[in-house]
Amino acid sequence: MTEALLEARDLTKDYGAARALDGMSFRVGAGEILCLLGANGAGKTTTINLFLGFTAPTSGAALVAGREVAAEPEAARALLGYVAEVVSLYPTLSGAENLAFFCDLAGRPADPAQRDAILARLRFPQGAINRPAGEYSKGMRQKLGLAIALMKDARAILLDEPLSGLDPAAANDLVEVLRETAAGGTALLISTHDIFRAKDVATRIGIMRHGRMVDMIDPAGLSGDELDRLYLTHMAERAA
Amino acid sequence: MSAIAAKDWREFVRDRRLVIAAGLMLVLALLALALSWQRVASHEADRAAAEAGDRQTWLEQGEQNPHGAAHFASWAFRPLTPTALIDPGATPYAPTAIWLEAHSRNTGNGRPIEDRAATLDLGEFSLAWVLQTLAPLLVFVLAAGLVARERERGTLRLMLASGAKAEAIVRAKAGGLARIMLAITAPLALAGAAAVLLAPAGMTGDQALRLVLLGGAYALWLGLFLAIGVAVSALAGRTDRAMLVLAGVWLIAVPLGPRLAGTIADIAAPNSDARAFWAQMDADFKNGLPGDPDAKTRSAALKEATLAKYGAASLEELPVSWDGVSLDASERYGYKVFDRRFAELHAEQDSQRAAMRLAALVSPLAAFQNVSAGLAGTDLAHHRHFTDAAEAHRRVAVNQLNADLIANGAGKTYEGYNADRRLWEAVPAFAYAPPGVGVLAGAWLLDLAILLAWCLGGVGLLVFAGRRLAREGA
Repeated sequence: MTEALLEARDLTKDYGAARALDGMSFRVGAGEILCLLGANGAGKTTTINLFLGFTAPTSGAALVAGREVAAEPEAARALLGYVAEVVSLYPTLSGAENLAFFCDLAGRPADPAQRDAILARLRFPQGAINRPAGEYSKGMRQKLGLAIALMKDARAILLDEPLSGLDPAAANDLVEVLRETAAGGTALLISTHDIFRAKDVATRIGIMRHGRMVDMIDPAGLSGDELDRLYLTHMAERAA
Repeated sequence: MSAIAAKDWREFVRDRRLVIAAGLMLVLALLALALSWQRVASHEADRAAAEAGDRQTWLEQGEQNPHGAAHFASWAFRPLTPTALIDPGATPYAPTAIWLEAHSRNTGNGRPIEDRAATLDLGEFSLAWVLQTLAPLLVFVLAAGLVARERERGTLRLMLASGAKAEAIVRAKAGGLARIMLAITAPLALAGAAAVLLAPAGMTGDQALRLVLLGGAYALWLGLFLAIGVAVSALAGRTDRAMLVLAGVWLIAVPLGPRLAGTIADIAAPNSDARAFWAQMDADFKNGLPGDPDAKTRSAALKEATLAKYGAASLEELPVSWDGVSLDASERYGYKVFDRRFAELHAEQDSQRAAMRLAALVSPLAAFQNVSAGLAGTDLAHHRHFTDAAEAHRRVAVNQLNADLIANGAGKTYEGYNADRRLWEAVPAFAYAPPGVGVLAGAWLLDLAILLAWCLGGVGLLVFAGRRLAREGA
């Protein structure tokens, strides 16, 4: 494996008496897309929060390009892009203003040519970038969120349920750009409970249950039957 | 972090919060200034007319004995300086005209503050009232969501993930709100400055300095609430919770603080009974101050000393007016009594002021009101300066009239000698020069120090909020 841009070392997180993450370990190198697959409450979002430094681990460590997040949260964040499940934007500001604002915060003022190229890759509707973000659909917000992360030229991008609630066309647009981004050498960590999208986009799939990484799968060799079995074993079981 | 301040500015402009807040404040400020202008202009017009009439009446009183003239007397009118347009301070409750006459140190008719409670609990409606009571509430309303709303809508996570530091976000939010408040209050400041510059009493260098210092003091005042507001927004997590906390802070700091200060002053240093105060002075005249002989003994001693001074065997042989000498001595003993008892009264008022400062532990307004009124020249110290000047003038005039009676009334009762216009013209008219801002600064410097301590506390809270946000994340 190439240098690990994202690494979880025996990562454990307790919230009071409840254990949200239990000794999880993984590495994501440049060009890899690791999908964390699991039901709600499996610990996917907690993992992302630990990499962002929004919460501190009870034990273990999250590292970004070798930097321990708990010790150097701001230095770690400087290397990361982040796309939330629901990308929050300022409704009275245009998409361009939102994008420019977050680029300024990242210390990389938005270059209009780079911005337009990224928006074109994302098939962001032409002209919509100057409309107030309050008028955007969820798909447009997710695309703009990813554009913010891409404008940062981050070495790794964390995506929390990025495809949730998107129409198929918008989801396909995003998946395509995610693949291109990874191919450019960026490490992607995606949390999802959509096993079929995970197979579609990931280079590896980590199955999470009750805060543990119970399996790590290469989706390339996954048959339709095995996908059904995985779904029934790890996802449908939570309804029981 | 100027990007955050610029973004906040844009949001405040686009969702019209800035226009609504600025419009509301401007309307209130203009209304307050208009009412203050009417009050001050009317007072100054009345004062000018009354002063001219009073002097004319004094000069044209005709021939009469000087002691009668001392009782005929005159008025001392207090001019209202232009900065009284900004903050009337104690003016509504303090006398602006004092009757100057022999034997009495009149205090003038101030209006009991209790009479105002039913109409306006927090003080006279003025630009100072708007900035002291409503502006902090506006700051809190604008500040409550500054950080909390970012957290609620998820943009705080994105800001942090983008690379912004938590402490820098909190600092930038405070800076951004300062810029917004500057835009809201700048028209108020300009309107206030214009009113002061155009005021009927005319502008002086001291008034200009007071205006500048008032601007600085109010910047500190609003800066304090700004720091508290942004810090609470960062600490509370949710806008509604922040708003609730800030409403509580405002209630304690603004409406309740001055009331609490009044209650503390009542308990710690209760007011003397006015009748007892004057009765004590009557007794002092009659019985003498502690260690002094009574009036009868003083009179006998004076008679003996005067006869010895002029080598006379009887009062009839004196080359000066015995009535004049006697009146002069009585008057001068009165000065001694007044000086002592008024010093005690002033000490009591100072004790009340000191006790009121205790309320500044929970309400910075208790201290800031004194700073504002002190800078505007309308606090109790300035009113005392005026009454002291009036008393000093009264003594000069009465001494002059008694000296004339002593010199020219020999062998007559005081009623048997009449002076004329030449003497009345020799007695100077009362001309009051308000003190410069530094002269009475001692009355409010401690309050300014208290305000600065609050501001330091506010900055400390802001720093703490930033650090906690950094520790706890979004």
